Amino acid sequence: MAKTARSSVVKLSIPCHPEFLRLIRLLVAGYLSRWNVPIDEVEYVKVAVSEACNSAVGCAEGCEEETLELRLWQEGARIGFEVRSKAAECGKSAPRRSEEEIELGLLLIRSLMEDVRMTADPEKGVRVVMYKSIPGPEKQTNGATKTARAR
Amino acid sequence: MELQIKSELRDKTAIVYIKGEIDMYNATALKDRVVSIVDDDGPKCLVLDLQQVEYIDSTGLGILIGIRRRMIEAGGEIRLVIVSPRMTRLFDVTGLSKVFGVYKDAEAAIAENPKG
Repeated sequence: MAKTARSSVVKLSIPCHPEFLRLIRLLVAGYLSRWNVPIDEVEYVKVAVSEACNSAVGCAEGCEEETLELRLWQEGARIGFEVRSKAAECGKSAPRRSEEEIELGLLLIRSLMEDVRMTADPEKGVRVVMYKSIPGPEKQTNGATKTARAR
Repeated sequence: MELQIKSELRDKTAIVYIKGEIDMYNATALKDRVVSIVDDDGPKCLVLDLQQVEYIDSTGLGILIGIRRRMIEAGGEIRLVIVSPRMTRLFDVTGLSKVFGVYKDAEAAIAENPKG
């Protein structure tokens, strides 16, 4: 399968509120269904991406207009995920989560995902980029199906 | 799926059955409900049956830690029922499987006598 073009990046922008976290998880599951990713791995990715969103939502407490942006894309044999918020822009950022919860969240992200990079700055907001390897092209459900149909 | 919580009291053990997804949105509701059960019934042992929990995040795990702390301070203990390998892995990577007593079902959790 050819490298995915930049235009195939999936983007979602939602209000930075906890009630939208389930929507994020549904999008992640739907996006990963394009590949033959084992169901348990899909669930772990949902946990990790949702944790990144928790960080963003936690930092955006009190910012009614704040938005959270999620981007998903294929990069060779792995899927990239980026979660970003700009909590600082409203000038009210204050963590709504305990230190314990923040530590647990970071632990989950780092344990379940690959190549995790994150920045959380009271003035710049939260940005988390992480990856998950996917099965090789010969095992990908969508590609195999297309080939079979073409014949 | 909306979080569903049911509870029962057997002797001095409170069993709380939780079904659904636990995340930042509803974790506080879970905490309030369980704390209310603990305060009202004063159980020596609290069993949280997570067999039907499909998803839990760090907020939910943090709530469990807080409830455990509360039970210990009151001289009681907390036990969890976890069966799915997926959930087990989350507890393993966070080190919480060593903090909580984990059982295969509620009956097994109840069967073991409370400490102390």
